[in-house]
Parts: sequence; C-alpha cells; structure tokens
Amino acid sequence: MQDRPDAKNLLETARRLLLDELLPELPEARLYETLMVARCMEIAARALAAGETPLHREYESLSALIGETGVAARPPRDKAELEQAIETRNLALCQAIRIGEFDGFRAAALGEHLWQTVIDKVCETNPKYLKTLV
Amino acid sequence: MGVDLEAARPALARFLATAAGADRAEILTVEKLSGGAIQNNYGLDLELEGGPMAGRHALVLRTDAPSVIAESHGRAEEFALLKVAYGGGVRVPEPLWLCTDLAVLGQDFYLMRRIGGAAAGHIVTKAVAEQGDGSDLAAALAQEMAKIHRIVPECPGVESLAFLGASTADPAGAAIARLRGHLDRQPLSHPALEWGFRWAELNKPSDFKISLIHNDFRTGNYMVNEGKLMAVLDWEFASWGDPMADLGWFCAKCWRFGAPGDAGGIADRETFYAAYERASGQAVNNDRVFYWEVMAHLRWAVTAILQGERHVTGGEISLDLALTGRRPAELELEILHMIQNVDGRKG
Repeated sequence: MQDRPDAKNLLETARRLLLDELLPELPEARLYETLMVARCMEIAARALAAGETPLHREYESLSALIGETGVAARPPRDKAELEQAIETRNLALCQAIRIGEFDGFRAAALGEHLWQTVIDKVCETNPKYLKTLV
Repeated sequence: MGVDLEAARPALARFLATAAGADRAEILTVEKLSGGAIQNNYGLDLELEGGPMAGRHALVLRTDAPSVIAESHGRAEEFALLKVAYGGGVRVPEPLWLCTDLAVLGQDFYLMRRIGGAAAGHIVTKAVAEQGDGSDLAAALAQEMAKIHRIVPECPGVESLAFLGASTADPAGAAIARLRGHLDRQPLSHPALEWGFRWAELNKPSDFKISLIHNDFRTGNYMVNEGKLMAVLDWEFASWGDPMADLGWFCAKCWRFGAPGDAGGIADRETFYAAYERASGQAVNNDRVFYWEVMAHLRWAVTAILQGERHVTGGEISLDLALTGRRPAELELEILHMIQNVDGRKG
C-alpha cells in the first residue's frame, strides 16, 4: 500500500497545473501538443480509476456469449493472462461474426455485449463522446 | 529519414532549370511545411532566368515521407492524378514538374504552385463558425466534387491513370475485403468493427455508377482563404469508385471536427446535397451516402489502429500517433449506433 495521494490523484493534479498554469505561458505553436499531453494524462487517470473492472466485465460477457461456462471460464488472476484470455475469445467471436453465426436471433445478444464493451472503452478514452450520440 | 534539401539544392536547381526550359534557376528559400503523415511538403521560392516561365514562382515540392502506407499512391501517380484533375477544371494546385530521377533527391518528387490559406480541420471549422455561414464554401466544395465525378474510365485522356487498375463493379465489396485484410494482420481483434463489416457486407448496394473519386475528400484536405475555397488537396487515395462514397466520407461524423453541420462541420447536409445535385445533374442517393458513412467510420477506425501500431511497434514514437491509436473506441461506438438506428427503422 502506497502513501497518499494515489496515482490517479497525482495525474489529475499534474494535469491541472499543466492546463491552468503552464499552458498560458507556452507559445501558441505548442498549444496542440500540450493539449495532447493533457489528454494522455486524462486517459491514464481514468484507466487507473476503473482498474480491472471493465476487463472482468468483458471476460464474463464474452464467456456467456460464446458459450463457455463453469470452472474453465473462471477468469485468470493475472492481468496479462486475463487480457490474453479475452483476446482469444474476441478472436473466436470475430470469426463467428464473419461467417454469419450472429446474423439471426443471436444478433441481439451480440449487440448488447458490443455496446457494453465499447461503452467501457469510450468511458476511458473519451467519455464526452457518449453525449454526442443522437 | 526525409530528404536533405539543403545539400541537394544545386542538383535541384539544375533539374528545375531544365524542366522549366530556363537558362538558370535559383532557389531563393526552402521551408518545411506541416502536412500529412504520408508525404513531406516544402515551400520553395524559385527565380527562373530565361525561358517561357521567366520570373519568380511560389511553389510546393512534395516528396514521400518515411512512413509510406502501401495503399496510398506514390508521387508520380499523384502527379498524374493532379494533371487529370487540373485538366478537368478541378480547383487543384497547378502541377508543374515531376522528377523520377533518384540522382536529384534520392526519391520521387514533384512541384506544384503554392496556394495560400489554411487547411487544418479545426482551423477551417472554427473560421466558419466565427463567420457564421459555411454554405458558400460547402457549395463550392460540392461543385469541385461534381467535377471530379465527371471523370469516368471511358473519358479520353485518362490513359495516364492506368495505375488505378480496371474499375471494379463492386467498390463496396473491394473496400470490405481490403479493410478486413488490414484488420486481420493486427495483434488485437475488434468484434465491434467485425460486426460493422458484417453489416456492410449484408447491406452492400449494387449497380454502382463508377467514376473517379477523390477518396479522401473531407474537411482538412482542402485549402481555404478568407472563407473561399482555394484548392482540393491530398489526392493519394484517389481511385475509381462510387461517387456517393466521396459524399459519405465528406459528411461522416468523424470528419466534422466536433463542429455542427453534417457536411464536413461547415454546413448542413441539405445545402451540400442541393449544390452537388445542381452541379452534377445527379440525384444524391441518401441510403447510399449513409452506407458510405458507416464505411467511413470503419475505414478511419482501421487506419487509426494502423497508425497506433506505428507508434507501438513501428518504432515511430509519436504522441499524435499514440492518441490516434485510441480513436477506434468512439468510432466503434458510432458504428454500433448508426447500424442500430438504421436497422431499428427498417425493423
């Protein structure tokens, strides 16, 4: 256990300093780059806040969708192994989609899974985008 | 990598003198211009002595950049496209000379007239917002687009575009196959994009009317000066295709730079469509433009993944590429949204 503040707090504090105090001092030609730096810090802070919850959600949802249940479907503890397990399932899902296995009545279940996982991705990369959907 | 224009100055001046039929050419200034990820542009002021073009010229020299995307045309092909477009009356920078002699710069390059103004998407959309009305600009763009679409494979004078290959009767199927191929070579799988491609396959239009298409006709790729359209740029993806694909790319939400106005973030869709119909004499097919807007998001998502990989594994460390690598999430969301809406309407 680390002392406080946590990494998310450090990133957010650094980002505020960058945008509020350093940015006005920088030449306008560096504006775009500075905003990119701030954006990266924002994404990293959100990733830290979310932790592994979205990964577990994706794993569970994928396992349900492509029909793996029981002991074998228990998620790996290690993050890298979990990501590998998700990728293996995503690859199988992609192949199934391509050959039309989700064209009919299974489309609704697929749709639900895709919405959930993509919303989780956007919540990390650019949550403001959710408001632009009309 | 890039070319060392300073070192190549004497050789370049000799080439320019010969190409322009001048007695002597002097390069007064050279500066690197900001520009695409695929090519390098240099602003060049030239003084010609003697010959038909004697005098001072403001030019742009365009060469390949280090990271060449296999799908984009090389400079010689782009020069040929510019010539055909210029001949067809499309507002483009006048293409002047092509050099394929590697002894001069070490790579192919060409020169075109330099045109003043701004192209960057966020600058153009901001200027339009400040001005309050982008309909004239949108109408001018529609007219240029219509001129491009008048160039068909049967036209005399398009023999120089042989490198485009024979026109396909199924440009949508070809695009799906090409993009899936790219996606399959990436380290991670993308089920949402895969679902988008499945939709695109099942809803593929047919009976295409094939013409030349610019294939990257969007805000960010044309030059504007004081609200006026100066030139349509960046021809490296031009191909034979469905004209409606250009309209879909131009109107796609991912190319509006967050600005209101479905047409490239500068005007409403109706204004743009009406101007296109007037200029082309062809009706805009709404469903088909929508189809190509979905495809636009798929194409940009795949391209963004490739750009992100250039940063992660391609040894081209860049924050810009890195952030682009994270763009697919919102594009995937938009694809799901578009597909659900249209299928909901049908069902």
